[in-house]
Amino acid sequence: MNGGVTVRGLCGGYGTGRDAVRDVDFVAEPGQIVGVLGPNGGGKTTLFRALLGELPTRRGEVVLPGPPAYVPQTERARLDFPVSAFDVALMGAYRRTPWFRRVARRDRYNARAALERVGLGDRVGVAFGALSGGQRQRVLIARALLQEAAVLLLDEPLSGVDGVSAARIEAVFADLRAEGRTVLVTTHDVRQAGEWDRVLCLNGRQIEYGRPAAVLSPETLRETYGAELIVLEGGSRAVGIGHHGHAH
Amino acid sequence: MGWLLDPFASPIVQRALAEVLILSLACGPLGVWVLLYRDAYAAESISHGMLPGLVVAALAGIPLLLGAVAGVLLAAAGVALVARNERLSADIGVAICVSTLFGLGGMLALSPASPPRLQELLFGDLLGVSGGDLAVAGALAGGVTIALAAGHRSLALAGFDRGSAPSLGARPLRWELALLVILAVTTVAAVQGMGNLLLVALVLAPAAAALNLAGRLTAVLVLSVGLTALAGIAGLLLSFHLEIAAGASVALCAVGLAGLALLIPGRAVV
Repeated sequence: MNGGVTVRGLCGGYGTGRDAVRDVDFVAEPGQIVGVLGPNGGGKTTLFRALLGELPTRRGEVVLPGPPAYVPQTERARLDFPVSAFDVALMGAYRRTPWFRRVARRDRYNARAALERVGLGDRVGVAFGALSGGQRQRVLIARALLQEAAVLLLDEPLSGVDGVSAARIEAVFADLRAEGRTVLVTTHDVRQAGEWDRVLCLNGRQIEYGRPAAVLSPETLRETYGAELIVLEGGSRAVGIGHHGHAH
Repeated sequence: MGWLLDPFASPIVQRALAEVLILSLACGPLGVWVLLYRDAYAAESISHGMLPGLVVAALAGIPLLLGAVAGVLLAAAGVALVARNERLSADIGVAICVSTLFGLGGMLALSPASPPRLQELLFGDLLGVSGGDLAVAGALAGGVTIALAAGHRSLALAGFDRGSAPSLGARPLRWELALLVILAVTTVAAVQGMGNLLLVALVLAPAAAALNLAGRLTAVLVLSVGLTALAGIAGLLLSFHLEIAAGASVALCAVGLAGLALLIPGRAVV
């Protein structure tokens, strides 16, 4: 996998004259996992939409090696839609499959392999809506894996998932890093972001970007989260109070 | 077996059978998508709102499809006009405009001065379909089936998760609008046989049954086609033996099948 993500002077939003995010400027190399921190409304999802090319107004430069794969928050998917875990994973191959062709045998094989990779090899035929929240999140990650994208954007994939799912997802992150893919992950868990390669702090604009040790200072976190509560445990660990109202 | 096969010895019933089988190919899958997109109210509104357009097109001798499009545009403009009033919601706009347009269409169709066949736009005349009607229904239903097949993956992506559909190659707004256009074309295809009023039952009821009985999208779509065809055949048999209107019998059978299917514990109905 070649490429990475280069963003220069990015500003943009959902209408002219009002930028939801501005002055974003960073380079994420292949094989890096970047934690994107910020309060609700701080521009995390707006940044992802800009990288996906879906932001109505955008200035600045975004360089990507190809269309990124996007993993939304699981609650946005319809639970009553008649699809199995396998069907959802297979959706990752739809973009490259002409409408008049059956999805390639290789992609069908890879969809199963992706589900096994996220620990759901025994849940292939189960209805998506019948899975637990953590399992559904892993299915959406399997779908993103099938897109074979060099860049993956994940919107709070670890928020509210069970321990088994969190461990599986973290293991997949490690694999993606080893494969040379670039992964951007929004999170409210400051401690978790500290374990990744880079941290990007947003609050309407870019507050800081760099190695976790350099970025995750109490001052930067205060500037990032503003009025949202930050609890510093003995000065060594920062805990952001996320939008669900509980500490991570 | 005589009661099952005898009715279909007549060329009139054979043409009616061909009509319901053709319509089942379009109505079956379309109904599933309409329900999955939670467009059932829109389906009924569009179908009823286009009635005056259909009637005027029939009176003027222009293609029904043009009348249907004009009717839908008129309904959309009316809804938008009402919705501009901040004290009223779009729902109120739909209720006011669709009721008004449907009333207007009914008045025109049922006027003593209107040609007799205009009444068929309301209730259809399955037993009166001609070879030409079958050809038109076949062409329109074929177009609908191809469009739904071409859009199958995009519709699935956008229906399952609208937010991430663009990153997977689908354009949700495009397909949401396309679904309404396909619905309008299906209405035109079916209006001669089923009528504007009864068509909605054939589109929605078998689809609701299929969604309750099957768990995978492809199976739901296939089952919906099968149940629509079954409702058509059962309706024609009922109509023949009880000597009641064929279109109404088919609609009744479609709703009856849905009722039976909903009694069976299955997956949650959308």
